[in-house]
Amino acid sequence: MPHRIIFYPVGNGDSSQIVLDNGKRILFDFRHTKKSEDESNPEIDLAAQLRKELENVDRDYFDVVAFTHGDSDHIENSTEFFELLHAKKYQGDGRIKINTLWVPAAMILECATNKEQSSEFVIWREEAKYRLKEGKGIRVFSKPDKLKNWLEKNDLTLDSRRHLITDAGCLVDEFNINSDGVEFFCHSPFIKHVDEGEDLRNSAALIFNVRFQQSGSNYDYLAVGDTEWLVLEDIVQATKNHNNMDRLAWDIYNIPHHCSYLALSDEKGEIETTPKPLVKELLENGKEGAYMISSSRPIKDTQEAREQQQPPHIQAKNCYVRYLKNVGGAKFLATMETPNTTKPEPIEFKIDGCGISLDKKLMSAATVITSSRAPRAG
Amino acid sequence: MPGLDPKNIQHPEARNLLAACLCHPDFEVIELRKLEINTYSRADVIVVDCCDGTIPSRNSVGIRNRERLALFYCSGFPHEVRALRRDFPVTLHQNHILSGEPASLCLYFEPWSAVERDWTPQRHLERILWWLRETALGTLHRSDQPLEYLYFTPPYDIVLPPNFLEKTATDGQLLSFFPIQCPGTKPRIIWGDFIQDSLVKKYNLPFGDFLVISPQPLNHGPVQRHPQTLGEFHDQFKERGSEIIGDIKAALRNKVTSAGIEKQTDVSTLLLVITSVRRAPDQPPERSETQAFFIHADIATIGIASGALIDGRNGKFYVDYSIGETESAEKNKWQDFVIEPIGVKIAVTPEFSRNASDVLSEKAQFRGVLAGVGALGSVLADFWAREGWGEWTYVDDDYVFPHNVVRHIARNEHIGRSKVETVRDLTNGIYYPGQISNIAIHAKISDRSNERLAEMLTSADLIVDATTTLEVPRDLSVQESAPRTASVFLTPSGHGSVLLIEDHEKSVPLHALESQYYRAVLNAMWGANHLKGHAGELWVGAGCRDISAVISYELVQLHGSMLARQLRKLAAKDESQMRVWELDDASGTLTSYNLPVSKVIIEQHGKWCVVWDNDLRDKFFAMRAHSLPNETGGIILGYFDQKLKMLHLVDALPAPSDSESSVNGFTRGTKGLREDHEECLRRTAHVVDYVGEWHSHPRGVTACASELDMDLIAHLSTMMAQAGLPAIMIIVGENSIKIQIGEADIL
Repeated sequence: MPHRIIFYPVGNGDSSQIVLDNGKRILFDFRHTKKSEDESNPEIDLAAQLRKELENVDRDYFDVVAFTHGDSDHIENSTEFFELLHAKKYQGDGRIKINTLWVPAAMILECATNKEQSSEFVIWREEAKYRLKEGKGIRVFSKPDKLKNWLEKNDLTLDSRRHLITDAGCLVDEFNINSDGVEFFCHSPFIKHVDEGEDLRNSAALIFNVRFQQSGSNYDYLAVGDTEWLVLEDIVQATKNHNNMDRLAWDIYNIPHHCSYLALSDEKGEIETTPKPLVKELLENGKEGAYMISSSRPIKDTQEAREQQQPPHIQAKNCYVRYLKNVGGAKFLATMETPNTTKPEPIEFKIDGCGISLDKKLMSAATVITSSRAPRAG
Repeated sequence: MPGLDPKNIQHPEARNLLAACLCHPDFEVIELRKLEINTYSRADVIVVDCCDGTIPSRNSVGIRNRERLALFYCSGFPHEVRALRRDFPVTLHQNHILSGEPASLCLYFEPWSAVERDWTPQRHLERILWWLRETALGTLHRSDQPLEYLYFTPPYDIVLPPNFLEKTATDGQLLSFFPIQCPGTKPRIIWGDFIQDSLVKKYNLPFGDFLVISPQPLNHGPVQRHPQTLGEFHDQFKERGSEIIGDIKAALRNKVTSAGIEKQTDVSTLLLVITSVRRAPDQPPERSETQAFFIHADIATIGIASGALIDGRNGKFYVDYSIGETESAEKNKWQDFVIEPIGVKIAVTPEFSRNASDVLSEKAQFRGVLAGVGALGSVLADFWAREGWGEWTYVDDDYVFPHNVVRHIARNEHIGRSKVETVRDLTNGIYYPGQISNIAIHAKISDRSNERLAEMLTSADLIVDATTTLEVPRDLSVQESAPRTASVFLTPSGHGSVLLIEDHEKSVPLHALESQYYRAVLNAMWGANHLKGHAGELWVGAGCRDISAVISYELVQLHGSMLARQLRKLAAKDESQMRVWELDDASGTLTSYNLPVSKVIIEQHGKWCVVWDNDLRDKFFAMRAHSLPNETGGIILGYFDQKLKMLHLVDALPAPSDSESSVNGFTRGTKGLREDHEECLRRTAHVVDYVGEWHSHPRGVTACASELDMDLIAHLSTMMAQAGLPAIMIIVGENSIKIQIGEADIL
């Protein structure tokens, strides 16, 4: 049985899932848009898709659901989908259970304005706080002073919750590479990003080196959330300082922030973004045959696209593709254009004894035509 | 060429291919090139990077998930694909290429003339992706398949006997080679066989001489490119823990007598290399590999270049017996000899035939007796021999007559010979001598005095009767010692055929199956014209034997192939089976009918053995029940075998409409009876006839005969005695059926 990594086409947003060969499921972020429920919309109906996948294996839960940070494009409509333990109204009615919730410390500590009090972010913050108080079903990443203060305020000691907290530079306890075939090495958030950061969300998001093992070989998936170049440079520097650069090698690189140039540099560039030196080092750390995934809308190469503010940025893609080729990589894929832009499908990698490959449903033109309704004839 | 402008491409087909590449998400066009092949011909080359993600990133074969390829187009051999990576792995299904050239992917199994019929540029690209994926996963091909030849067809194929390995290894026999002459064209096949060298000399060999070597076993290794020189070939052996030059030298020394040899110019030497392959140096050999090459040099030149021979300075060359290695300038020149691969094929074995015919070996190894090798029998024998199914003893006492060649596998040259010997020689001759040894016994199958036949019959696992006689299957089925027996025959018109096979336990013997088959002929729609064309008198099924019969060999083969296959399949099952095939000659439809087999009832009545079955018994009870509370009755159809003293009850007809039926009596009428009787005779070729009367007794009454019944049987007996036959009366009572046989003395 191979391990699988699935990236869902959810527009400029993130949702991906790791399915281990032992059946365990780890979901990263959840973005379900209401418009995706209309079949003509190219975005996937994520809620229906995940529900179907779980039904197929006779499950009603994920082993882990990780929210890399609290931006709407990472949690959209998730509070309607999951069962939350802190309030009755989020329970029952076929909601999907979460055995362990992974959140960055910022998600517990972030303040919300009055306007935001009813937002999904606040609901998840309450859920994370509830689970942390209960002392189970949660993992918090990083333990900045702010978290210590919060624990004290709630009459809890750090020691009593230490086993639920993972710091940057450490492995997550729940998974073991020998028994599960996978381990999660936490790159971010850093304590300094939480305590000193102004933009608490994006600078203190979850970043992992997910290392899979199959037939004695290691395969590294760098799961980067919405991170900008400054944070990436900090991570590269810290990783170098700790002699952990193998944790920044990648067979799969989940391109940050929907292929925004800001994850490479503060300068977009005319044709191609030039990465900052430490980001460049990260890009050069790709392995032969590696893949890059951009969780984003299709990336067009037009004058208009070159000038657009919002990601994805074609200049950033050009930069990524250059470095991918330099390391002998395989392919750059954008979720909303694979296999086509009209009806993108989840991108599914399998990792088995032979390496990483895409699990493609190979279909002839005739099969494609006959598998859907023909247009009305006059 | 600069840019990707399609105008730079000469061939329109290649422009289409470029367009397909540009549209394909998994192909990235890098550049366009052109290749001058000669003054008249130019190849368009599209260089692409190709990656669809389905190739595992670290596959053991070494195909990368992104590969740079050159897509060629030139007239003559269009659409060749070369992998440009210098270290692209040597894999299965690549074309033979010249040293230093980029690997050439062998994409299609069929020749271009077939491929082009549904070729589109888009499908070509998919095919490339498929090749890379399947190759990377190691699922493209059998692992022992050598590399393919694209531009190169071996000038000759060597065909070797199936047992050449054992013979060369254990018996020390020497192979000789001789080409099969093809008048009007040059030879293509060279036989390698164990015949005396002196006999071979008369053949005009396409090479000067030959060397056969059996080097040390090779270690299991990856696929290797075809070597271009003898040195390269030697190096490949060395990489796999063996070598060849020592063996070549030894073979050269054996070749050359003390008289020495002379140099020959412009001749090649055939080198046959027989090796075994082992998984590791300490493991026993697992399989053998045989390769053949032409070395473009004569024996003397190879001898000198390898140090095996020395120049006698008298125009002759002698074996170098000097001790120790002498240095000579010529010494290592053997490495530079160009070698050219020759195809090697092994003559087939019955085992190979079984695999090729999907015949399970464990179901095929048995002794069979085929009784009757006429038209149908000879065809069955031929099919089964070619499938490697069974070892057969052919039994027949007939000879090949001139008219036989119309419908028999025998030919003009066999006229006058014994049929069994002819069939034996023809079937054994399908294979290399000694591979199968079917036996011929020229005798009647019923010849009890033939001891060899008796022995064959008792030791056989299956007898197939193809004699198209009535008596043989009946006689065989009452023989205690006979194994399971099957009977096959064609109908007189040749449009139908019949297969009857006993169950493994012989609980329903063939003679009983015969009578149940007749019941089906009487009652089924297909039975109406099944035996049409019989002579009008008792038909003995000898349609094909009759010199005047009009049955084409097509029909014999058509039914013969169906019967051969079905019999082979049904013999693998334990149950008894009856099958009938009817050809609709207008449409060519061959319809199969599967007849039910009923449990047989055998009762001895005086000297007569009465054979009937449960289905007929149930029919009697059903007809009685239908008429209750009144009695009913009708006539009984069946036949006698006077030799075996057997009476077969086939069927019973219901009461004619003018019969008188009451609670305590029944008088059988006659309306329609004559027509029914005639139809019975017509349908069964006069085999099944009237044999007596049946009637039922009312509720609560046994099947015991009343006084009236006794009178009836007496009357019937007297009437039947006129034909020399006994009469049958059957009474169907409440729970039992009684059979009475009356035989009047007419003398």
